[in-house]
Amino acid sequence: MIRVLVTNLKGGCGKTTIATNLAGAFARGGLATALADVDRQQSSLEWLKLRPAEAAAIQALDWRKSVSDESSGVQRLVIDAPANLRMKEVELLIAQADIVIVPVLPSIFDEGSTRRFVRRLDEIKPIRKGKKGVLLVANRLRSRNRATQRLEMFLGEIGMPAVARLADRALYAELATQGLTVFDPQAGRASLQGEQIRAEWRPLLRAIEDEA
Amino acid sequence: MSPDSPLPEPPLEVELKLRSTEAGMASLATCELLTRHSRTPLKRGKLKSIYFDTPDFRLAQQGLALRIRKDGRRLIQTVKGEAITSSIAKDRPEWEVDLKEARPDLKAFGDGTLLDRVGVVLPEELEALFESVVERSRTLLDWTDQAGRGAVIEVAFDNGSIVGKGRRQVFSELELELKEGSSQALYELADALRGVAPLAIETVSKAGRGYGLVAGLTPGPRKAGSPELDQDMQVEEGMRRIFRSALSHLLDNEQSAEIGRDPEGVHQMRVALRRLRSALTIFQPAIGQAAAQRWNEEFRWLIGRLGPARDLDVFDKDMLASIDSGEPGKVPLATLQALTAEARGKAYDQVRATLKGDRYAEMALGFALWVELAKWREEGGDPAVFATPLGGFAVETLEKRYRRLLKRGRHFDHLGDESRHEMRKTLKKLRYGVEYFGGLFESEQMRAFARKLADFQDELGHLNDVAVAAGLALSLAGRRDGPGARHAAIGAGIVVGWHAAAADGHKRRASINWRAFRQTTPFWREARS
Repeated sequence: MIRVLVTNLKGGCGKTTIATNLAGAFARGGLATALADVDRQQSSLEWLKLRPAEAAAIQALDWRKSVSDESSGVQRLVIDAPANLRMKEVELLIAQADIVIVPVLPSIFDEGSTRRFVRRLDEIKPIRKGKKGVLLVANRLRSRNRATQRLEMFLGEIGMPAVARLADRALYAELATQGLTVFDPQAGRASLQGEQIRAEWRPLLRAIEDEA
Repeated sequence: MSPDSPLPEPPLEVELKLRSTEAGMASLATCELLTRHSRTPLKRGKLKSIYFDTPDFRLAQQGLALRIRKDGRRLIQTVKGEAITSSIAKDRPEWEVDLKEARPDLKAFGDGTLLDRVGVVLPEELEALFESVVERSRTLLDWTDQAGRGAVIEVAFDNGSIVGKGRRQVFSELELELKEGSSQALYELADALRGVAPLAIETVSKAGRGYGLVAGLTPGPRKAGSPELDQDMQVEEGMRRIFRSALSHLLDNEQSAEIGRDPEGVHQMRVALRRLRSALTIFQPAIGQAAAQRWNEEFRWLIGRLGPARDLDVFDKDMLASIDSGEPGKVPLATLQALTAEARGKAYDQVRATLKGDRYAEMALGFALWVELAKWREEGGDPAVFATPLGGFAVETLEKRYRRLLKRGRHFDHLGDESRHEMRKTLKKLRYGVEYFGGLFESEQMRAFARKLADFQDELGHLNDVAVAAGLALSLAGRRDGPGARHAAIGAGIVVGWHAAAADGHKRRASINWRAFRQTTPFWREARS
């Protein structure tokens, strides 16, 4: 089983979108997938309730109170962590995962917190020892504008280039209202755009398979 | 990763892939042996398969090949994996399913193991890479093996081509696939067919040809595997597994050696041959001197044919490349480098000619069948030795070799080149004994012993390389006439001088390593008490 934790202390950087779409990708790929929600607001599991029966199945895991161990037969587990956790709580979640994915927005206001978060992640033993990987995902990018370039430079500075670059698309929100992801064929949109969007996720998907 | 519960095994396909000359294939197709055992005359059909993968060759990276084949009105999707064990008949995992549309779909097999191994590969990522078009003439054969068991074997003659990216490669193969019964029958059939026409083991798969053709992807060199042995096993079974493992090691590196881009290919083939020869010596009490000598001859011949390429590879990489002679040495060294490249090209031409030749083909298939059919039983082997437990045999063998090494190395610091060479040979013998049988005594002591032995062997090896390099440099320089001759000679001098300086250091370290080794407990003695 490969366990992926999506986390960032900063709110609003697209954790749930990334977590749900990752789960959608795994499920679409035919892998037995589970999505665990640690957030009290349960955004991921609420989304899962909207998911149509014909879409590739994803098992729901409620981790609000405690980490459940119903992982028999699961091949890919995605853990959606809320913002504003204490590092101690992040550390506990990392213990339940094999890979940590950190979404980052192209916003100058976020640079400080990203830098701090990455530094604190590096202090956690399994990450420091290279046993668990940390992958940064640049999220909600808008063309090659200044903010995007600035983000690239910043990530270069802190020595953690983005594994994937996801563009800002209205499609994500639209599909979310139907319990769908960009990987579901039920998405129904013009397939060329769908392919382009999915192509942005490919390096992340590969990196996850290779890290584990 | 967190522990998984064991997943079901995919079905295995056991097949032996062979090739012959054009005339040979024709004789085989019409031979009496085939007619006598076939259920029907050869049925002809055309097979078209398209092979798929992602732009970053995700499946190939996992050792998998995905194809969709048109068979009449059926569309059959197949994924084939790499072989599991090291026997010559490949037992490869194979997944097969019928499709409704000619579009690849990994989920169609309904096998979570496969998907887990591949990871996320979306249908749109799979592109058609190359196509194979084959004229297949096949039939089913009924065969009763020497133990009286029945088997069903599919015999297929394939003549076809792989096409992709505007390129084309033609091939001709004979496949023997075991449908029912034990693999013994497969080997007996192959052995019988050898009497009809010259046969060689074909190591390249159709997918392999395709990837090579369109993407330049070829199998890289492979290191030795370790056969599974245990103390209570009989010597015969242990021997068989060791031979199988070493022969696989040899064949797995054939393609890499032929391509010649990576020196490891030829190197690993030579390592495999040394493993085979040392195994023959170790088991000589069991198989008898005649058999051991006969095969030793053949393996020695092949090592010799691969030798020049190996020497030049080592010279080029380790010797020439490591020298920093400053400005004055640049031109002479460049001249020597050019000579080396030329000689290396010729040496690899010899490698290719050898591996495509008859004697190699005979040797490889002949030995494989000798092992699989346990032909030593009827060739003067000693049944008493065969039946002894492997553990006891291992202890005896290791003890003998260890004593001999201690004797040869008694005055190590004063040994001349010749005596040191002899000692090196004895050491290698002990090393192979430890490599084969060490697993039976799995312990920290065994690992420490093996490490000390390896360290010492490395130092001796360096000393040897220096001696070889000196000889090679001088001989290469000697070939050059005319204006470049002086430069070549100076270049040779630089090489000899540079590495001679290093030799002293190696000698000292070797002495230290030898002393350290002598103090290490022979791990098999502990096991006896």
